[in-house]
Amino acid sequence: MQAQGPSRRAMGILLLTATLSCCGARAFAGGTPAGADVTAQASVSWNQQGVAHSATSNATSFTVDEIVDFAVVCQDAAGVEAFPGETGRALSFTLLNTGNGPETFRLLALDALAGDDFDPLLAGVHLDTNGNGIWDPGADDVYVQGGNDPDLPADAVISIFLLVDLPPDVVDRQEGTAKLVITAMTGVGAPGTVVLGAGAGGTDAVLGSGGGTGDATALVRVAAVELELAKTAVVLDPDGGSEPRPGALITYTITVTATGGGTARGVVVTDPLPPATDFVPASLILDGVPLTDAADTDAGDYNVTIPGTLTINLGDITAISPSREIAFQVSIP
Amino acid sequence: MPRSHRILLAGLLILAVPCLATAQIELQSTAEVETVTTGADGIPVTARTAAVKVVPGDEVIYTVHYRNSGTDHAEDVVITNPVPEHMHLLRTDGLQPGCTLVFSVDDGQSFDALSRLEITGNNGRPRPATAADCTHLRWVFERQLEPGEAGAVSYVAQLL
Repeated sequence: MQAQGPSRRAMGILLLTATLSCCGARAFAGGTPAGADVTAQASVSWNQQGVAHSATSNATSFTVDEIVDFAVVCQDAAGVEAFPGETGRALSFTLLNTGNGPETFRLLALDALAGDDFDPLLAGVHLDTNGNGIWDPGADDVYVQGGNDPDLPADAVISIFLLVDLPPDVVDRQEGTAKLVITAMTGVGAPGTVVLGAGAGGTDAVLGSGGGTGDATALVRVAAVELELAKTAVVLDPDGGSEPRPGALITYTITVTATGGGTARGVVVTDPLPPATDFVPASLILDGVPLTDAADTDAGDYNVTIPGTLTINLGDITAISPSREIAFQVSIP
Repeated sequence: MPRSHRILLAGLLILAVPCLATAQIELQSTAEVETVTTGADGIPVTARTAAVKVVPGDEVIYTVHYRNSGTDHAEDVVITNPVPEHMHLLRTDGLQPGCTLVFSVDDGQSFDALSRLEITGNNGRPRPATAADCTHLRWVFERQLEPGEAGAVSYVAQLL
């Protein structure tokens, strides 16, 4: 009699370890290890003329073969944003061995795919050497085909990073795709193909529904945020007119607006004073709030960061942010 | 004792020994898989072969062939089949007449109809048992098996 508990049986059924992609994944991640023996034997009891008897059947047994199966998933399924000319943008994939034996996998990255607006340029393929699921430049080794093909036991998972550069001439909202193709070293062929003796423990290996190959595609969307500056000048002369003559005051207003996708980070506006004018002290205003001329904790200064120039830090701006308004005054001596 | 008397006594003893009637149930277990191939005429053909190349997810048909090879009828015949390790029960085939099928979810300690069995769920609360929870199957024959009578009981299990 074999000892089996109901709780252990329930555990075996609930053994789903990851979200599985469309690429040839079975419902049982991992499963009974290749090489395990499965034995069944029945018994019978009966009475004859009041005397109890029993007997057993033969034991039938088979050895579990290895199934080659895996799932490739692009972690950034909704797409990642990148700006024109960006270099080394990491696209993250996971590879899960859903078979029941260890497998070595060969990786191939493709960037020149049809059907997209532009081709991201492949800058490298890296393995998640430190196993944290995050692209760490310097810590995650470059992948060398035939050199460090990932070797995964059943149920193990590894992250793989495709690095891409964006061409500088792409336009906001264009989409590019890159694909990671993975093949199992045991073999590639029609599902159900048997590779004799290639399984763990000398068993045969059977190619699962993926046929030993699978792939996932990453989407890169261009977010090209652009900033627009509009500057107006209002002249007020001592007689209430608008003649730019000695004694006149000029009020400048600079409006900063963003369009397009993504975020413009750390925006700094600089504006040198027009020649032959004097800055009106304490006239700098940002979004209706006065700023000091000194370089202090507020967002702007005059003549400190850059001589003769207004420097205003606007921080991050997106197309959804309200326009920013900078105002200041100069006088004509 | 004179020799002739001894021979006569031996003969009487031989004649006096009754012919013993026995009931002997023999079991033969098989494990098979079903394969579907398409014949030359395009019609799919289903065949059963011995289970050899089995991988997780595959279904295996376990059959117990029974036979009363004795000369007397057998009563209270009960055939018990544990579900093998690494497998879980999917379904059973049609039953023999006069035979009740019961299940165990507690390693063979108790047997009942599947609809009356409960197990402790993952949240610690009881829930109705399903086929996959079964540890043993038991066929209880309500009628006696006559000498020479034979049949088979079977179930389908899936390799985890």
